[in-house]
Amino acid sequence: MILRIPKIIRRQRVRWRWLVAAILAGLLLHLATVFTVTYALPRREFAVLAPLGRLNTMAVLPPITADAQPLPFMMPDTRYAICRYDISKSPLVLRASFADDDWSIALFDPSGDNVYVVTGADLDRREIELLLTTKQDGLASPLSTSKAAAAASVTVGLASRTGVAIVSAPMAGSAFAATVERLLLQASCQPRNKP
Amino acid sequence: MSKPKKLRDLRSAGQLTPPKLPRRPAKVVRGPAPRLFRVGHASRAIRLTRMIDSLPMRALRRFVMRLFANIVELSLYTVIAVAIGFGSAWYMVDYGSSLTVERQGPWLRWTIAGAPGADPYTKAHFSRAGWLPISTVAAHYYLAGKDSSGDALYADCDYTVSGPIPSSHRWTLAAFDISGRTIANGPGQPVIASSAALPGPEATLIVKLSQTTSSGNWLGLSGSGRMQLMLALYGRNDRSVRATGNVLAAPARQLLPRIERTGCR
Repeated sequence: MILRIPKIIRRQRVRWRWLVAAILAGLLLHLATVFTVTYALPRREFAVLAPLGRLNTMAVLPPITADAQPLPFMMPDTRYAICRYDISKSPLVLRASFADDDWSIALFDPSGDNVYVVTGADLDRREIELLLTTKQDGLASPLSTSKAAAAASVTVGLASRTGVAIVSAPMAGSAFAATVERLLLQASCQPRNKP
Repeated sequence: MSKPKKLRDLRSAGQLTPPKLPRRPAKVVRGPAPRLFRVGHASRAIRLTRMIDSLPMRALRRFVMRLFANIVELSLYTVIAVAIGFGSAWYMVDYGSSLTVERQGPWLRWTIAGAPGADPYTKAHFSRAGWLPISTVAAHYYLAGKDSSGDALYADCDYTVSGPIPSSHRWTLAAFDISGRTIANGPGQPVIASSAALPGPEATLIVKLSQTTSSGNWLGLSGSGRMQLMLALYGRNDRSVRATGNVLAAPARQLLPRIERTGCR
Protein backbone atom coordinates (compact mmCIF):
# COMPACT_ATOMS: atom_id res chain seq x y z
CA MET A 1 0.00 0.00 0.00
CA ILE A 2 1.41 3.33 -1.01
CA LEU A 3 1.20 5.96 1.68
CA ARG A 4 -0.45 9.02 0.23
CA ILE A 5 0.93 12.14 1.80
CA PRO A 6 -1.75 14.82 2.03
CA LYS A 7 -1.20 17.81 -0.16
CA ILE A 8 -1.21 20.15 2.78
CA ILE A 9 1.79 18.30 4.25
CA ARG A 10 3.58 18.05 0.92
CA ARG A 11 3.27 21.75 0.54
CA GLN A 12 5.00 22.40 3.89
CA ARG A 13 8.27 24.26 3.60
CA VAL A 14 11.21 24.27 5.98
CA ARG A 15 10.51 26.68 8.78
CA TRP A 16 13.92 28.07 9.49
CA ARG A 17 12.94 29.60 12.79
CA TRP A 18 11.66 26.27 14.00
CA LEU A 19 14.81 24.58 12.77
CA VAL A 20 17.04 27.04 14.60
CA ALA A 21 14.86 26.61 17.71
CA ALA A 22 15.21 22.83 17.39
CA ILE A 23 19.01 23.10 17.16
CA LEU A 24 19.13 25.39 20.19
CA ALA A 25 16.82 23.04 22.10
CA GLY A 26 19.14 20.19 21.12
CA LEU A 27 22.15 22.03 22.50
CA LEU A 28 20.32 22.73 25.75
CA LEU A 29 19.34 19.07 25.95
CA HIS A 30 22.98 18.13 25.32
CA LEU A 31 24.21 20.32 28.19
CA ALA A 32 21.43 19.15 30.50
CA THR A 33 22.23 15.49 29.78
CA VAL A 34 25.97 15.86 30.30
CA PHE A 35 25.61 17.91 33.47
CA THR A 36 22.96 15.57 34.86
CA VAL A 37 25.16 12.52 34.30
CA THR A 38 28.18 14.36 35.69
CA TYR A 39 26.82 16.13 38.72
CA ALA A 40 23.25 15.10 39.53
CA LEU A 41 23.37 11.32 39.31
CA PRO A 42 25.05 9.58 42.25
CA ARG A 43 28.13 7.52 41.38
CA ARG A 44 27.20 3.88 41.51
CA GLU A 45 30.72 2.82 42.46
CA PHE A 46 30.09 3.87 46.06
CA ALA A 47 26.89 1.85 46.23
CA VAL A 48 28.83 -1.14 44.88
CA LEU A 49 31.64 -0.71 47.40
CA ALA A 50 29.37 -0.08 50.40
CA PRO A 51 28.61 -3.75 51.20
CA LEU A 52 32.29 -4.72 50.92
CA GLY A 53 33.37 -3.05 54.14
CA ARG A 54 32.19 -1.01 57.08
CA LEU A 55 32.60 2.75 57.23
CA ASN A 56 36.03 3.95 58.40
CA THR A 57 37.40 0.42 58.29
CA MET A 58 39.90 -1.08 55.89
CA ALA A 59 38.61 -4.08 53.95
CA VAL A 60 40.83 -6.27 51.81
CA LEU A 61 39.10 -7.34 48.61
CA PRO A 62 39.45 -10.90 47.36
CA PRO A 63 41.69 -11.47 44.31
CA ILE A 64 40.17 -9.99 41.18
CA THR A 65 38.54 -12.55 38.93
CA ALA A 66 35.76 -12.38 36.37
CA ASP A 67 33.28 -13.35 39.09
CA ALA A 68 34.70 -11.17 41.85
CA GLN A 69 35.28 -7.73 40.46
CA PRO A 70 33.34 -4.90 42.10
CA LEU A 71 34.41 -2.18 39.68
CA PRO A 72 35.35 -2.31 36.00
CA PHE A 73 38.97 -2.32 34.84
CA MET A 74 40.42 -3.62 38.09
CA MET A 75 43.68 -5.37 37.30
CA PRO A 76 43.69 -9.12 37.91
CA ASP A 77 47.36 -9.01 38.95
CA THR A 78 46.67 -6.42 41.64
CA ARG A 79 45.19 -6.82 45.13
CA TYR A 80 43.05 -4.04 46.52
CA ALA A 81 41.99 -2.82 49.94
CA ILE A 82 39.32 -0.18 50.38
CA CYS A 83 38.25 2.15 53.15
CA ARG A 84 35.02 4.11 52.86
CA TYR A 85 35.61 7.12 55.03
CA ASP A 86 33.51 9.80 56.68
CA ILE A 87 35.50 12.54 58.37
CA SER A 88 32.58 14.71 59.41
CA LYS A 89 32.92 13.71 63.08
CA SER A 90 36.67 13.31 63.40
CA PRO A 91 39.78 13.15 61.22
CA LEU A 92 40.80 9.75 59.97
CA VAL A 93 44.19 8.07 60.11
CA LEU A 94 45.06 5.77 57.25
CA ARG A 95 48.17 3.62 57.67
CA ALA A 96 49.74 1.25 55.17
CA SER A 97 53.06 -0.41 54.49
CA PHE A 98 54.10 -0.55 50.88
CA ALA A 99 55.99 -3.58 49.60
CA ASP A 100 57.49 -1.71 46.67
CA ASP A 101 57.39 1.45 44.57
CA ASP A 102 54.33 0.29 42.63
CA TRP A 103 51.92 0.33 45.54
CA SER A 104 49.63 3.31 45.83
CA ILE A 105 46.91 4.89 47.92
CA ALA A 106 44.30 6.89 46.05
CA LEU A 107 41.49 8.92 47.60
CA PHE A 108 38.28 9.46 45.66
CA ASP A 109 35.54 11.92 46.54
CA PRO A 110 31.84 11.12 46.01
CA SER A 111 31.95 12.58 42.52
CA GLY A 112 34.62 10.04 41.56
CA ASP A 113 37.50 12.52 41.41
CA ASN A 114 40.88 11.21 42.46
CA VAL A 115 41.68 13.98 44.95
CA TYR A 116 44.90 12.52 46.26
CA VAL A 117 47.32 9.82 45.21
CA VAL A 118 50.64 8.69 46.58
CA THR A 119 52.78 5.84 45.29
CA GLY A 120 55.64 3.91 46.79
CA ALA A 121 58.02 5.71 44.44
CA ASP A 122 57.08 9.00 46.13
CA LEU A 123 58.07 7.79 49.58
CA ASP A 124 61.47 7.67 51.20
CA ARG A 125 60.30 4.84 53.44
CA ARG A 126 57.81 2.00 53.08
CA GLU A 127 55.33 3.05 55.76
CA ILE A 128 52.90 5.84 55.22
CA GLU A 129 50.37 7.50 57.48
CA LEU A 130 47.74 9.77 56.01
CA LEU A 131 45.71 12.06 58.24
CA LEU A 132 42.49 12.83 56.41
CA THR A 133 40.86 16.04 57.59
CA THR A 134 38.45 18.54 56.18
CA LYS A 135 39.94 21.60 54.55
CA GLN A 136 38.71 23.75 57.43
CA ASP A 137 40.44 21.56 60.00
CA GLY A 138 43.76 20.94 58.43
CA LEU A 139 46.14 21.80 55.69
CA ALA A 140 44.95 21.96 52.15
CA SER A 141 46.82 19.46 50.08
CA PRO A 142 45.00 18.95 46.83
CA LEU A 143 47.40 16.50 45.28
CA SER A 144 50.40 14.49 46.18
CA THR A 145 53.63 16.46 46.18
CA SER A 146 57.05 14.93 46.36
CA LYS A 147 57.98 17.04 49.36
CA ALA A 148 54.90 16.13 51.34
CA ALA A 149 54.83 12.53 50.28
CA ALA A 150 58.45 11.98 51.21
CA ALA A 151 57.48 12.35 54.84
CA ALA A 152 56.04 9.32 56.55
CA SER A 153 53.01 11.25 57.82
CA VAL A 154 50.99 13.43 55.50
CA THR A 155 47.99 15.57 56.34
CA VAL A 156 45.47 15.71 53.57
CA GLY A 157 42.81 18.41 53.66
CA LEU A 158 39.75 17.22 51.80
CA ALA A 159 36.93 19.32 50.42
CA SER A 160 34.50 16.46 50.73
CA ARG A 161 33.78 14.78 54.06
CA THR A 162 33.09 11.38 52.55
CA GLY A 163 34.83 9.25 49.98
CA VAL A 164 36.77 6.09 49.49
CA ALA A 165 40.46 5.25 49.81
CA ILE A 166 41.79 2.48 47.61
CA VAL A 167 45.11 0.80 48.31
CA SER A 168 46.43 -0.87 45.17
CA ALA A 169 49.04 -3.57 45.52
CA PRO A 170 50.35 -4.98 42.26
CA MET A 171 51.90 -8.42 42.54
CA ALA A 172 55.03 -9.23 40.57
CA GLY A 173 53.96 -12.87 40.63
CA SER A 174 52.01 -15.45 42.58
CA ALA A 175 55.03 -15.98 44.82
CA PHE A 176 54.36 -12.58 46.35
CA ALA A 177 50.65 -13.24 47.03
CA ALA A 178 51.10 -14.12 50.70
CA THR A 179 53.31 -11.10 51.42
CA VAL A 180 50.96 -8.76 49.63
CA GLU A 181 47.93 -10.10 51.49
CA ARG A 182 49.70 -9.83 54.85
CA LEU A 183 50.67 -6.21 54.21
CA LEU A 184 47.17 -5.33 53.07
CA LEU A 185 45.67 -6.92 56.18
CA GLN A 186 48.00 -4.75 58.28
CA ALA A 187 46.75 -1.59 56.61
CA SER A 188 44.32 0.33 58.78
CA CYS A 189 41.83 3.15 58.54
CA GLN A 190 40.30 4.54 61.73
CA PRO A 191 39.22 7.81 63.36
CA ARG A 192 42.08 9.68 65.02
CA ASN A 193 40.49 9.87 68.46
CA LYS A 194 39.97 6.11 68.52
CA PRO A 195 42.54 4.37 70.76
CA MET B 1 -65.84 23.39 -8.31
CA SER B 2 -63.37 21.47 -10.37
CA LYS B 3 -61.32 18.86 -8.70
CA PRO B 4 -57.69 19.89 -8.44
CA LYS B 5 -55.44 18.01 -10.80
CA LYS B 6 -52.64 15.99 -9.56
CA LEU B 7 -49.14 17.26 -10.20
CA ARG B 8 -48.33 14.10 -12.04
CA ASP B 9 -51.10 14.79 -14.51
CA LEU B 10 -49.97 18.35 -15.04
CA ARG B 11 -46.36 17.19 -15.61
CA SER B 12 -47.46 14.60 -18.12
CA ALA B 13 -49.60 17.22 -19.93
CA GLY B 14 -46.59 19.47 -20.30
CA GLN B 15 -48.13 22.24 -18.28
CA LEU B 16 -45.60 22.10 -15.50
CA THR B 17 -42.25 22.49 -17.14
CA PRO B 18 -39.49 24.12 -15.21
CA PRO B 19 -38.65 27.53 -16.57
CA LYS B 20 -35.44 27.80 -18.54
CA LEU B 21 -33.01 29.89 -16.67
CA PRO B 22 -30.69 32.22 -18.49
CA ARG B 23 -27.08 31.42 -17.79
CA ARG B 24 -25.19 34.38 -16.57
CA PRO B 25 -21.42 34.61 -16.66
CA ALA B 26 -19.87 34.18 -13.22
CA LYS B 27 -19.05 37.46 -11.65
CA VAL B 28 -15.83 38.04 -9.81
CA VAL B 29 -17.00 39.37 -6.52
CA ARG B 30 -14.67 41.75 -4.81
CA GLY B 31 -15.09 43.12 -1.36
CA PRO B 32 -17.42 41.60 1.20
CA ALA B 33 -19.28 38.40 0.36
CA PRO B 34 -22.73 38.97 -1.15
CA ARG B 35 -25.70 38.46 1.03
CA LEU B 36 -27.16 35.06 0.40
CA PHE B 37 -30.81 35.89 0.21
CA ARG B 38 -30.45 38.74 -2.21
CA VAL B 39 -30.16 36.19 -4.98
CA GLY B 40 -33.58 35.82 -6.33
CA HIS B 41 -33.14 32.77 -8.43
CA ALA B 42 -34.14 29.40 -7.00
CA SER B 43 -31.39 27.24 -8.53
CA ARG B 44 -28.67 29.60 -7.38
CA ALA B 45 -30.18 29.52 -3.92
CA ILE B 46 -30.07 25.76 -3.99
CA ARG B 47 -26.46 25.77 -5.09
CA LEU B 48 -25.51 28.24 -2.42
CA THR B 49 -27.38 26.27 0.18
CA ARG B 50 -25.44 23.16 -0.77
CA MET B 51 -22.22 25.11 -0.59
CA ILE B 52 -23.16 26.45 2.81
CA ASP B 53 -24.01 22.94 3.89
CA SER B 54 -20.61 21.71 2.79
CA LEU B 55 -18.69 24.70 4.15
CA PRO B 56 -18.35 23.62 7.80
CA MET B 57 -17.17 20.18 6.75
CA ARG B 58 -14.61 21.58 4.37
CA ALA B 59 -13.36 24.08 6.90
CA LEU B 60 -13.26 21.43 9.59
CA ARG B 61 -11.40 19.06 7.30
CA ARG B 62 -8.97 21.79 6.40
CA PHE B 63 -8.49 22.69 10.04
CA VAL B 64 -7.85 19.07 10.96
CA MET B 65 -5.39 18.63 8.11
CA ARG B 66 -3.56 21.79 9.03
CA LEU B 67 -3.45 20.72 12.68
CA PHE B 68 -2.15 17.31 11.66
CA ALA B 69 0.48 18.90 9.45
CA ASN B 70 1.59 21.15 12.28
CA ILE B 71 1.77 18.22 14.68
CA VAL B 72 3.85 16.24 12.18
CA GLU B 73 6.10 19.20 11.64
CA LEU B 74 6.46 19.87 15.34
CA SER B 75 7.26 16.19 15.92
CA LEU B 76 9.90 16.36 13.21
CA TYR B 77 11.60 19.34 14.81
CA THR B 78 11.32 17.68 18.23
CA VAL B 79 13.02 14.59 16.83
CA ILE B 80 15.75 16.82 15.40
CA ALA B 81 16.23 18.50 18.81
CA VAL B 82 16.31 15.18 20.69
CA ALA B 83 18.66 13.60 18.15
CA ILE B 84 21.04 16.56 18.34
CA GLY B 85 20.86 16.71 22.15
CA PHE B 86 21.07 13.07 23.15
CA GLY B 87 23.09 11.93 20.12
CA SER B 88 25.85 14.48 20.56
CA ALA B 89 25.89 13.98 24.35
CA TRP B 90 26.14 10.21 23.95
CA TYR B 91 28.93 10.52 21.38
CA MET B 92 30.93 13.06 23.38
CA VAL B 93 30.58 11.06 26.61
CA ASP B 94 31.19 7.60 25.17
CA TYR B 95 33.75 8.29 22.44
CA GLY B 96 35.08 11.70 23.35
CA SER B 97 36.50 14.35 21.07
CA SER B 98 39.95 15.67 20.34
CA LEU B 99 39.49 17.98 23.33
CA THR B 100 39.06 15.13 25.79
CA VAL B 101 40.66 12.08 24.21
CA GLU B 102 44.08 11.24 22.84
CA ARG B 103 44.00 8.68 20.01
CA GLN B 104 46.99 6.82 18.73
CA GLY B 105 46.35 3.94 16.35
CA PRO B 106 43.79 1.72 18.04
CA TRP B 107 44.56 3.17 21.47
CA LEU B 108 42.44 5.77 23.17
CA ARG B 109 43.11 7.66 26.36
CA TRP B 110 40.97 10.15 28.25
CA THR B 111 43.57 12.81 28.83
CA ILE B 112 42.29 14.13 32.19
CA ALA B 113 40.85 10.92 33.59
CA GLY B 114 40.20 10.98 37.31
CA ALA B 115 41.50 14.49 37.84
CA PRO B 116 39.44 16.90 39.97
CA GLY B 117 39.79 19.54 37.25
CA ALA B 118 38.43 17.25 34.55
CA ASP B 119 35.85 18.53 32.10
CA PRO B 120 32.19 17.42 32.41
CA TYR B 121 32.51 15.01 29.46
CA THR B 122 35.39 13.15 31.07
CA LYS B 123 33.56 13.06 34.40
CA ALA B 124 30.37 11.86 32.72
CA HIS B 125 32.30 9.17 30.83
CA PHE B 126 33.76 7.66 33.98
CA SER B 127 30.51 8.11 35.87
CA ARG B 128 28.72 6.09 33.19
CA ALA B 129 31.48 3.51 33.09
CA GLY B 130 31.42 3.16 36.88
CA TRP B 131 35.19 3.26 36.99
CA LEU B 132 37.46 5.04 39.49
CA PRO B 133 40.68 5.75 37.59
CA ILE B 134 43.76 7.08 39.31
CA SER B 135 44.48 10.64 38.26
CA THR B 136 46.68 11.30 35.25
CA VAL B 137 49.45 12.57 37.54
CA ALA B 138 50.14 8.94 38.44
CA ALA B 139 48.65 6.74 35.73
CA HIS B 140 47.69 6.78 32.09
CA TYR B 141 45.13 4.27 30.83
CA TYR B 142 45.05 3.43 27.13
CA LEU B 143 42.13 1.36 25.89
CA ALA B 144 41.79 -0.45 22.56
CA GLY B 145 38.63 -2.13 21.31
CA LYS B 146 40.04 -2.67 17.81
CA ASP B 147 43.28 -3.91 16.32
CA SER B 148 45.60 -1.78 14.21
CA SER B 149 43.65 -2.74 11.07
CA GLY B 150 40.46 -1.38 12.58
CA ASP B 151 38.79 -4.75 13.23
CA ALA B 152 37.12 -5.43 16.55
CA LEU B 153 39.04 -7.50 19.10
CA TYR B 154 37.62 -10.93 19.92
CA ALA B 155 38.58 -13.17 22.81
CA ASP B 156 38.66 -16.26 20.55
CA CYS B 157 41.23 -14.77 18.17
CA ASP B 158 45.01 -14.62 18.47
CA TYR B 159 46.84 -11.31 18.48
CA THR B 160 50.35 -9.96 18.71
CA VAL B 161 51.00 -6.71 20.51
CA SER B 162 54.36 -5.33 19.45
CA GLY B 163 56.18 -2.04 19.67
CA PRO B 164 58.58 -0.07 21.80
CA ILE B 165 58.64 -0.86 25.48
CA PRO B 166 56.56 1.80 27.26
CA SER B 167 58.79 4.37 28.93
CA SER B 168 56.80 4.40 32.16
CA HIS B 169 58.02 3.30 35.56
CA ARG B 170 55.64 0.34 35.36
CA TRP B 171 53.13 -0.87 32.79
CA THR B 172 50.41 -3.49 32.67
CA LEU B 173 48.61 -4.95 29.66
CA ALA B 174 45.30 -6.63 30.45
CA ALA B 175 42.30 -8.00 28.58
CA PHE B 176 38.75 -7.12 29.60
CA ASP B 177 35.37 -7.78 28.13
CA ILE B 178 33.44 -4.94 26.58
CA SER B 179 32.00 -3.83 29.93
CA GLY B 180 35.38 -3.73 31.67
CA ARG B 181 35.11 -7.08 33.44
CA THR B 182 38.31 -9.07 33.41
CA ILE B 183 38.38 -12.09 31.13
CA ALA B 184 38.08 -15.34 33.01
CA ASN B 185 41.31 -17.18 33.67
CA GLY B 186 41.88 -19.78 30.99
CA PRO B 187 45.20 -21.56 30.74
CA GLY B 188 46.87 -18.31 31.77
CA GLN B 189 46.14 -14.94 33.36
CA PRO B 190 44.65 -12.26 31.10
CA VAL B 191 47.30 -9.79 32.21
CA ILE B 192 51.00 -9.19 31.81
CA ALA B 193 53.02 -6.58 33.65
CA SER B 194 56.40 -4.97 33.07
CA SER B 195 57.84 -6.93 36.00
CA ALA B 196 57.16 -10.22 34.22
CA ALA B 197 57.70 -9.24 30.59
CA LEU B 198 60.82 -10.18 28.70
CA PRO B 199 62.26 -7.44 26.50
CA GLY B 200 62.57 -8.25 22.82
CA PRO B 201 65.39 -7.25 20.46
CA GLU B 202 66.24 -3.53 20.35
CA ALA B 203 64.15 -2.69 23.39
CA THR B 204 60.94 -3.82 21.79
CA LEU B 205 58.03 -5.53 23.40
CA ILE B 206 56.24 -8.50 21.84
CA VAL B 207 53.25 -10.01 23.64
CA LYS B 208 51.20 -12.86 22.20
CA LEU B 209 47.53 -13.04 23.09
CA SER B 210 45.83 -16.38 22.59
CA GLN B 211 43.80 -19.08 24.26
CA THR B 212 46.64 -21.60 23.86
CA THR B 213 49.94 -21.36 25.67
CA SER B 214 52.70 -19.63 23.83
CA SER B 215 56.40 -19.06 24.36
CA GLY B 216 57.74 -15.63 25.32
CA ASN B 217 55.43 -12.98 26.66
CA TRP B 218 51.98 -14.48 26.65
CA LEU B 219 48.63 -13.12 27.77
CA GLY B 220 46.01 -15.85 28.15
CA LEU B 221 42.57 -15.33 26.67
CA SER B 222 39.43 -17.36 27.21
CA GLY B 223 35.80 -17.40 26.17
CA SER B 224 34.44 -15.63 23.13
CA GLY B 225 32.92 -12.32 22.14
CA ARG B 226 34.23 -8.79 21.93
CA MET B 227 37.01 -7.73 24.23
CA GLN B 228 39.21 -4.72 24.85
CA LEU B 229 42.80 -4.28 25.87
CA MET B 230 44.04 -1.88 28.46
CA LEU B 231 47.60 -0.66 28.61
CA ALA B 232 48.07 1.06 31.96
CA LEU B 233 51.19 3.13 32.44
CA TYR B 234 52.05 4.04 36.01
CA GLY B 235 54.34 6.71 37.37
CA ARG B 236 54.93 8.13 33.96
CA ASN B 237 55.22 11.66 35.12
CA ASP B 238 58.38 12.66 36.84
CA ARG B 239 58.45 14.24 40.26
CA SER B 240 58.67 17.76 38.93
CA VAL B 241 55.26 17.32 37.30
CA ARG B 242 53.86 15.82 40.48
CA ALA B 243 55.26 18.65 42.55
CA THR B 244 53.37 21.22 40.51
CA GLY B 245 50.15 19.33 41.04
CA ASN B 246 49.24 20.38 37.54
CA VAL B 247 47.04 17.59 36.33
CA LEU B 248 46.82 19.13 32.90
CA ALA B 249 50.57 18.98 32.32
CA ALA B 250 51.02 17.07 29.09
CA PRO B 251 53.89 14.62 29.19
CA ALA B 252 55.82 13.59 26.12
CA ARG B 253 53.84 11.55 23.63
CA GLN B 254 54.15 7.87 24.31
CA LEU B 255 54.78 5.52 21.38
CA LEU B 256 52.28 2.72 21.76
CA PRO B 257 52.48 -0.83 20.43
CA ARG B 258 50.56 -2.17 17.42
CA ILE B 259 47.90 -4.83 17.76
CA GLU B 260 47.81 -7.36 14.95
CA ARG B 261 45.49 -10.30 14.49
CA THR B 262 47.34 -13.52 13.75
CA GLY B 263 44.39 -15.89 13.53
CA CYS B 264 40.91 -16.80 14.67
CA ARG B 265 39.28 -20.07 15.52
